[in-house]
Amino acid sequence: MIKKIFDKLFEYLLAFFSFITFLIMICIFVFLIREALIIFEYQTGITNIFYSWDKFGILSFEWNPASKTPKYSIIPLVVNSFKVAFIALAFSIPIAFFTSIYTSQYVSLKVRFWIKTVLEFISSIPSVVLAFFGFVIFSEILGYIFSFEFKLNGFIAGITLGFGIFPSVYTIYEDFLYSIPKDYKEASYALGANKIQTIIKVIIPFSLQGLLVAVLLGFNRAIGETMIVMMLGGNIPILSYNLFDPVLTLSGTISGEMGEVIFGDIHYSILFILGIILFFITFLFNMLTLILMRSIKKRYNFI
Amino acid sequence: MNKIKFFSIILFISFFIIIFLFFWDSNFFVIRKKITIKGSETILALNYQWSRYYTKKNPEVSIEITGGGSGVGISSIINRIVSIASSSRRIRKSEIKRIKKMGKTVKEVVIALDSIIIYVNKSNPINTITLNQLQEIYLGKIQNWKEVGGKDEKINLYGRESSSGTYGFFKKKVLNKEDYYNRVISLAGNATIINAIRKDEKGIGYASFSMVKDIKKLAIKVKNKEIYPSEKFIKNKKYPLIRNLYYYFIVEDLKNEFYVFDYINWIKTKKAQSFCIRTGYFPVNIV
Repeated sequence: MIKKIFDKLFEYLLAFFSFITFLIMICIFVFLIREALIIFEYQTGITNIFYSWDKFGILSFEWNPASKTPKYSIIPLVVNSFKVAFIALAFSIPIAFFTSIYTSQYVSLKVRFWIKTVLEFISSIPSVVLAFFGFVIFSEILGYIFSFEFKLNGFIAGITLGFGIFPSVYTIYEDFLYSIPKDYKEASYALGANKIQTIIKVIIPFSLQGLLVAVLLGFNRAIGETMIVMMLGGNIPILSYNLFDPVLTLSGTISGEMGEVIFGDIHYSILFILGIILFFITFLFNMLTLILMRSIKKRYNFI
Repeated sequence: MNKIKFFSIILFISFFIIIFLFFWDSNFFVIRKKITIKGSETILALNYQWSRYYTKKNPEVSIEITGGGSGVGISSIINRIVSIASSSRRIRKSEIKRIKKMGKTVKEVVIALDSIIIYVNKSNPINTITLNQLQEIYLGKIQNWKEVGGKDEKINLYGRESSSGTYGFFKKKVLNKEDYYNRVISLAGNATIINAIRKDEKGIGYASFSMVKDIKKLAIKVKNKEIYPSEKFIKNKKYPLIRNLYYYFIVEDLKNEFYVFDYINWIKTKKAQSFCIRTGYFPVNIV
């Protein structure tokens, strides 16, 4: 009897805990939307969060909440967010790609274990520490090499961010490469191909989907990252396609301005709209990776 | 089956322990006078100094301090989360309106003076600057150090994030409410700005008074008189860039918490004000 009761209670406890996370998720979303809807109490119009007309009647995309007539265009923030994320990816993908091919195909198990452990250790460094490291070292070295116009800019932020996300891209892609069935490789060897030919013609084409999954997850981490971009990005909301200009990203704006803003103000609700946009971007990319993973599982029956 | 039973018992026990620890507090059974302060990050260090001294003198009082920003602090007293909000900016009209709508009145206390100091790199040859020059630099009209008597180099501008109290103060006092040039790199916090300028030879920035040695504080020229950011000039209010730091509280909410007023009254005393200089601020009562 007691056994049965305990059994049932245990089940309920587990159900309770798994339900809590679900509930918190819904609460967060409801909260975000509720605070964002404050914007409709003001007669500024929802189009103001995309563009505004400046005093000469020219279309302008400007983020300047402290101006006499506040301008809340989110376009530069979104563009800057993507810009930094792409710099980070451009830096981290090649490194992760070559490292994972090396550790999965060339080295012994022992060496692979050590390289993997060290790289996974990098991914556990808090982003504040990494940001400070970038602030002291990367900005000096890169500033010396490139002699930037700005001491802190999107390029430095992107490189440091790339350094932060590269271990996670590496781990996912390396696991994928490592779990490719031996039959494929051996079939290639049997046909007379050497190691390089096997890697280029068999392994890499086979693993492209795995690379895409790794890159998408890396992108998700890069676009939500706050501390590195805030400390190194320079935080100027200018709309430019120059990689060496300072950037102000979505997450940087939220964490930088939330503390001092007037609660219930239009600026406050727009910060929540930024949060919703960020939420949707990461949600979209998460869904994409999930779909990809499922298709991989179906097709190859491994991982 | 035995294993499941064992684990479920452990889980239950640990669950209750966690809940117990959650609600248990060192002063759970002792009725203590608790003061909670929330708000500006700038005033945080000063608040800690005060609370450490005050609770040592009055052991029945405990003071809880959290940062988060001036806006967070003021919205917290409106929502009755804390008893005092510390703020580096004046309360806005819209916030007062919200409090009045609830039928309450908010009170303001000036707790210390903060000076905004213009910092440049140690290697920069210039020593003084006028407010007019400063305005033109931050509006982007002057872009070379040569025009204010320095080397032939571009000026790199540093400032605070747009919602901070310092940003608003500088905009009002120096820029005459015009918009900043859109090439001002904005950084969070005084320490970050000072660190950035320490490394940037072409940099200029504004931040609160700091004890850091290897950085140059510019004197401000007012009517052909150089005013250095020294204690003497700031105490005399000769230095042009001085602002107040505030405590805000709602009188109606503190009816049963009279000891909060004791604390606020104590802050105005000479002893409490002497803590200001140690943390980079200046006392109010010596004017």
